[in-house]
Amino acid sequence: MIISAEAFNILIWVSIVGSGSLMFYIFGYFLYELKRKKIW
Amino acid sequence: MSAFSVNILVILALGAIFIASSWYISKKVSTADDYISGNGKLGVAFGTTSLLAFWITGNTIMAAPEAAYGMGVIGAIAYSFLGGVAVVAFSPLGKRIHAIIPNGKTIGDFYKNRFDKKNYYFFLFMVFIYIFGLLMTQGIGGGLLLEQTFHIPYELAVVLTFLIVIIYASMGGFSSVTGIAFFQVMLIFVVVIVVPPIVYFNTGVAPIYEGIQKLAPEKLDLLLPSGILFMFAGAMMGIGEVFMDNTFWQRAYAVRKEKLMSIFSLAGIGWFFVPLATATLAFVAIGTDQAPEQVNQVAPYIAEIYGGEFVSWVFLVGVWSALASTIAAILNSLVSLILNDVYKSINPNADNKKLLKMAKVLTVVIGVLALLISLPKFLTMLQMLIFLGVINAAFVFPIIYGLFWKKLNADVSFWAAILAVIGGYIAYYTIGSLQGVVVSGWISFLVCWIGSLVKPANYDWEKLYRVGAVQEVTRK
Repeated sequence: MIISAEAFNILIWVSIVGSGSLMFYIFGYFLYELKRKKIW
Repeated sequence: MSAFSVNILVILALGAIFIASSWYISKKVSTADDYISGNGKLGVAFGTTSLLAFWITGNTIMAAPEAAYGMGVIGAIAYSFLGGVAVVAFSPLGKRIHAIIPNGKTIGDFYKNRFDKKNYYFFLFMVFIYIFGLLMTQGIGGGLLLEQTFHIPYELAVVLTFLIVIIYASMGGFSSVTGIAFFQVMLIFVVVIVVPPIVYFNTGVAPIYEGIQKLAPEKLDLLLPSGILFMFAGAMMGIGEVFMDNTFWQRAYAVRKEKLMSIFSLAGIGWFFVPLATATLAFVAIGTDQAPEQVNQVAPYIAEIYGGEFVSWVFLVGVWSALASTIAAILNSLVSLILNDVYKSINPNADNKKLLKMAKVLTVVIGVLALLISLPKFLTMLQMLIFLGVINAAFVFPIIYGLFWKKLNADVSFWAAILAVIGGYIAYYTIGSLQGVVVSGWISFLVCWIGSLVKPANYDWEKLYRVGAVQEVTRK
């Protein structure tokens, strides 16, 4: 079963965008928890 | 200034930042419990990144592209699947751990109280072999990686990495390791979201796909047999590693109970995306027919071609951060296990000051020992990981059944682990290494299940619930 060109394209960009989104989500949570003093 | 000097400077600068941060964090560490496992109040940000920091190693960033280069698209997906599934699968276990052993500190607390002495000592013996082996793989793998890819002599790379980690991990223990892990993971994320887009904006995705189609079409096959075997054996190996590893149990105890599921799920998602994103660099190597001498260098090799020296340094920062964070987490996990399950048994009346001092001494001693054993570079990273995978798989079902099923018999659990280790290594040497991991997992599953149906136990969960409280009373 050969992956199509469209699926290949999606795989690459989803992995990059997924990593980026996760980074910003965790960083956002860090700022939120820092503000509420609930880091540790 | 030569590339070698700049690379050393990058590591020294990062190391200085980690040590200074650790010194600051260590001021809040006042008890041995803070040092070995936190206090059950770790939030989502630090909880998730401490899991990602341990699980995403320097070698992960390099090995995922290697798997993609060898097995194509399915290799990249399989590698991501390996860890992502394991971490997500641990979240219900983590919730259960919080519910039935709320005051536990290590996986040893579970094994000691859920089973009997023979199970406990056998497990401790195997887990020490496993964790120490893992620590060595990080030292050796990291040294080779820095030598081959960033031209830092092997011995210098190992000594520098271990010394920096020993200094910062010994200062504040678990608190330092988890606090610094947050910044290390952010650096790894920066690599992942900066480097692949730079490369693909230069090459375009369509020409790469067409290049692979022309040069190696089998690497676009999602049903490539070697990739499918790697996916299933890898998932078993990953699940075994996560379930058995004290690092994950430490974090299950340390995070806030109500946030546990989201923390482990987020970490699992991260583990899926991060290796996948770095693995995509290998597709460029296949599609453009550009291969480095050593296949594990494929990601930084491609990054340097399309991004230049700057991107190469960005890569070094990410790889070294990943390496340091993993070594620190493993070191602290091993110290916690020895302090909680060995030292406290020998010295049950040791006060907090003595325990804290011993934890710091153990961190330095074990770290230096791992450094010295890593210096001769007598094994390769992947070989060692798969070799240890047989042990990991053997303990998957005693742990799962032990946490959820009161009928699991202690004798059955003991024999399941022993037979799985023996059967696994027979298959490892006679059929194949990955098959050894799968056989070990199957034996562990079948013996635990059938044995406990034939000879069921009736375990009292209350015994586990009292674990922490009993220790407190004993210490007073």
